[in-house]
Amino acid sequence: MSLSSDTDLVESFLAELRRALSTASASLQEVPRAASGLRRFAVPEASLETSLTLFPTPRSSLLPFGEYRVIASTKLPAGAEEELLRRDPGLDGFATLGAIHRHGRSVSSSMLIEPSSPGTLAGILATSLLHTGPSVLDHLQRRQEPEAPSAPASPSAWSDLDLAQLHFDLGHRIGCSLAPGEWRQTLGPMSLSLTIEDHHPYFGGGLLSRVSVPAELFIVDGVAVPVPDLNTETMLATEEPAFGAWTTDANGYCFLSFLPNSLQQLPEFEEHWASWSLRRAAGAIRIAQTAHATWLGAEPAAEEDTSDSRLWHHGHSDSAEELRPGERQGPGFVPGFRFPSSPAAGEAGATFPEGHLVAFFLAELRFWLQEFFGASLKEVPSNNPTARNFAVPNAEHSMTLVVPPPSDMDGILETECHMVAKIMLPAEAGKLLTRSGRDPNQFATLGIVTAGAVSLAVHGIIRHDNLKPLAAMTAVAMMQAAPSVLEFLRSAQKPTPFTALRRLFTRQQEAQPTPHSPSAWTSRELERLHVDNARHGSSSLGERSWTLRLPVGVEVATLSLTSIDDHPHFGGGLLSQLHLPRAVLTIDGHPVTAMQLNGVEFLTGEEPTFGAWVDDADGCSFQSFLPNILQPVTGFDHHWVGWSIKRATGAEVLARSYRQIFGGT
Amino acid sequence: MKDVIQLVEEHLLSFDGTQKTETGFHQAMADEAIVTELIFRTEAGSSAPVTVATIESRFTPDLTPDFSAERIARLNRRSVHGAFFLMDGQLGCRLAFPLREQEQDAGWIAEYLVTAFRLQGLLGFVTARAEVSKAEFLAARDDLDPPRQWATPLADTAFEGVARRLEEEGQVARAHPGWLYIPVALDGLGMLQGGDDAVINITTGIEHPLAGTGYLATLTLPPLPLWQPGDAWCAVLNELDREIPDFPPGLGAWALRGGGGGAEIVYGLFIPAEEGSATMLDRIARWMIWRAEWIRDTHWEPGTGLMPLNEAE
Repeated sequence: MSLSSDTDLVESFLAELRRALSTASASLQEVPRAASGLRRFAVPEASLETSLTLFPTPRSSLLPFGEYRVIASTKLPAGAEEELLRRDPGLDGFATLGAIHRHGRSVSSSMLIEPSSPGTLAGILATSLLHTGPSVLDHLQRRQEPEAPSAPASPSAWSDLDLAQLHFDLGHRIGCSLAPGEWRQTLGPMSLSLTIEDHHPYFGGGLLSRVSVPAELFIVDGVAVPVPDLNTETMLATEEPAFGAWTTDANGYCFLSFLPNSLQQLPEFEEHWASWSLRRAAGAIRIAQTAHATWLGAEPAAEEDTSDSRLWHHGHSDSAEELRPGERQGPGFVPGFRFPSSPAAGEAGATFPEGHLVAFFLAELRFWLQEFFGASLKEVPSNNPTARNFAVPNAEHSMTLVVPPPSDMDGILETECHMVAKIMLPAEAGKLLTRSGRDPNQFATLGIVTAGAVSLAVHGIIRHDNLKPLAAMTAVAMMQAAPSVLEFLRSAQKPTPFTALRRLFTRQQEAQPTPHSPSAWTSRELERLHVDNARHGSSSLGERSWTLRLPVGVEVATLSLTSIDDHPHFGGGLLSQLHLPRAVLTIDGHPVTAMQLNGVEFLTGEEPTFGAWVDDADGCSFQSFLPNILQPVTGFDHHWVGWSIKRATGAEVLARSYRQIFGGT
Repeated sequence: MKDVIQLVEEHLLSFDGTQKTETGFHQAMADEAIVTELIFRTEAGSSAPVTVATIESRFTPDLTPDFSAERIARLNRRSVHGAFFLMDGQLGCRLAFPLREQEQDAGWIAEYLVTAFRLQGLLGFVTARAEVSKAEFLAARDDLDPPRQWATPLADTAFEGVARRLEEEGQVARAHPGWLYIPVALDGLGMLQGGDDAVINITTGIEHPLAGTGYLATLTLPPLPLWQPGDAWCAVLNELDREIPDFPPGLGAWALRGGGGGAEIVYGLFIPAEEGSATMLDRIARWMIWRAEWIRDTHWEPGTGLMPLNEAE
């Protein structure tokens, strides 16, 4: 496959997929509205609501050519969810071409577009799009009506001779064996088997593919990695196509797929499939480790299990005799905490968890919290069925992150998701605020101090293309914004005779030196900003600052970014000030103030709110301080300037929103 | 060498449909759909002239599927008696067997060349067509009806003996029942020390789908990066393999095996047989080691892998 660009790669694959779908009288229709960098398609002819999402992977830009992931998702009809979540034993070991979402509302499969095997991948994906959902539904219905007739008998299209050919073609590999009806390759303690099957209840004939991994290999840090976590990681991050699901069997874990007869005609199907499966086996331990590191923390502890959070983590079981996926070993072991499963058949493994975007965001946020602040993020029960709450345990201030679940897609990859981090300031802050009489938002930091709740809040819309900078800023805001504001409020107090006296006696402790560290934004970074953004307006470069004058209607907004070495709390960083003239913020003759803008920022603002509006001489400025720690984040400057430009052009709308929502008050 | 040519001539002239030419022999089958030539030519070797026996079959284009370069590289995983190639849109298959002046195995070589001359075209033709038609594969399998059981299986001690001899010569070699494993370090370290190995496996336990029982020897190179053109590499290596006169016999082919974006470059050699021979096993092992060392010495950059394709060419 000769491709000259990423576009060729994607379009060529889509053409293959369309061709494959057309053989089943189905089509692929692009859905116009999708987030930046992300394309979404529907398959109108599918018997269940089925969609396909295509997007570049996070590492795509680092590779010599683009890397694109495709996620197929089929919604299951209402009612199936409860049935799935009941996790009857009959579901266990059901093999198809995808995994069931953790919430039980959809089934998914995933793959990277590979230039070497587009026709084969497209064929499998087409089959998955059209049949994975119906096969699961059929399975559920069959459980309710055991007498229902199975699929008409159709012998497997694969014969012993086909397996013998595969045996020869992979004869260069060690550990292959051939037996009647089955080809197998061992890979240390792991194995891949392909078994001829004639009686799949939905598909009829085909090939059952099983990658087996001993249970002990999936115990990481004393914790047996839960199957839903493995499925999540497999769907989102593995290089091998994920047409199937992790589950458990008597011997441990297995990745189970059913390959219906129609797939046999695809080019070099068996060789591709075997290679993908063997790579899956070879990388299984790494997947378990990554799944553990990325997803386990998202699971509430057993003692916090509530019916509300049932969808998110694992239930209880009566027996604690043996370690099973999801159980903890050693000091953290909670007796009785285990996967919901039937003792006989094991975990209903074909589940798939939350929205992809949220998952990635949380993983990124956790990384930042752990890496730079030694903190963790823990999900806490929420009474709000449409929101998830998180907290940083043992932090000086209580903090809550509210991430509503995806609303538009129930599944894999939302286009955007609203996030608010509310950081409660200690009671002392309220008193200080009252005494100072000053607007704490004048102090440049990473959020808005809302006087009523004496809390600091930041907000952002998580999108596929802003995950990393948003997560980084959220982490910094969660850990540093409150202390910085508190420090500002303390220093802003008018000295009373008592405080003056106290300062006299405790001068040494009071005299905390202002942190001083050179700003990470050097003249080189500023010059790059100047060059990259000159097209947006009138750009000018100062010795330690860069200014962009933007046309906003007939007025001009000014974005000033200044390198600062001595922010009272953060030390070095970048002071960002976006000034909007009063004329822009005057609606129907009524000027809207900074306090009012701050009030509607969370309600209607679309750009991340890491900073606050403050009044200035001729209007308002949105002011933020970006500490040095953020500078190395890939694409951070680019995102920040982009957000600022959008904030400038949307400021009038924001002000108008205030007038519309609150009238003249 | 003269013995080999003489023996081959004696055998081939007794077959119908075989014509002697100025440089060798000619054979046409199925209304000229398959044409095979055996040519003996003398070329300059590294130290002395080398006579190379080349057997080349060409197939009528409209009777063989259209193969892309990538599919030719895959087709070669099943080659017997040489490597498939495409030239001017025509599919062909070619082997090269350098003959030494005082050939010790003249009898076996002559027998092999005669068998290859008679079967290369037919096997190549049906192998190519079977790639796209299961029915043709089944029909060809029935028609060819090769031995599917070893008449005299090779004893495990034969594998152990070859492994021991190779170890005594400083090579790493491990014998398992019915199977010989020889890793050849490509960068002086070897896989166990984190380096790269070319891995040689020789087995008598895997049947060729169309040619039946025999020796299957494979030499697997470490995986190429995804953006390296594996099919182009196979084509270049097959061409180089044929061009170097002073080289182990080119009876197999460099091919892509496996798939899924992780196809491996493997030199595969399948020699049909039903009588096990320790000498044959030893001979194949040495040919494979020689080839692996050639890769190491001429095409491998430690830390990088196969050197860029244009340099190889």
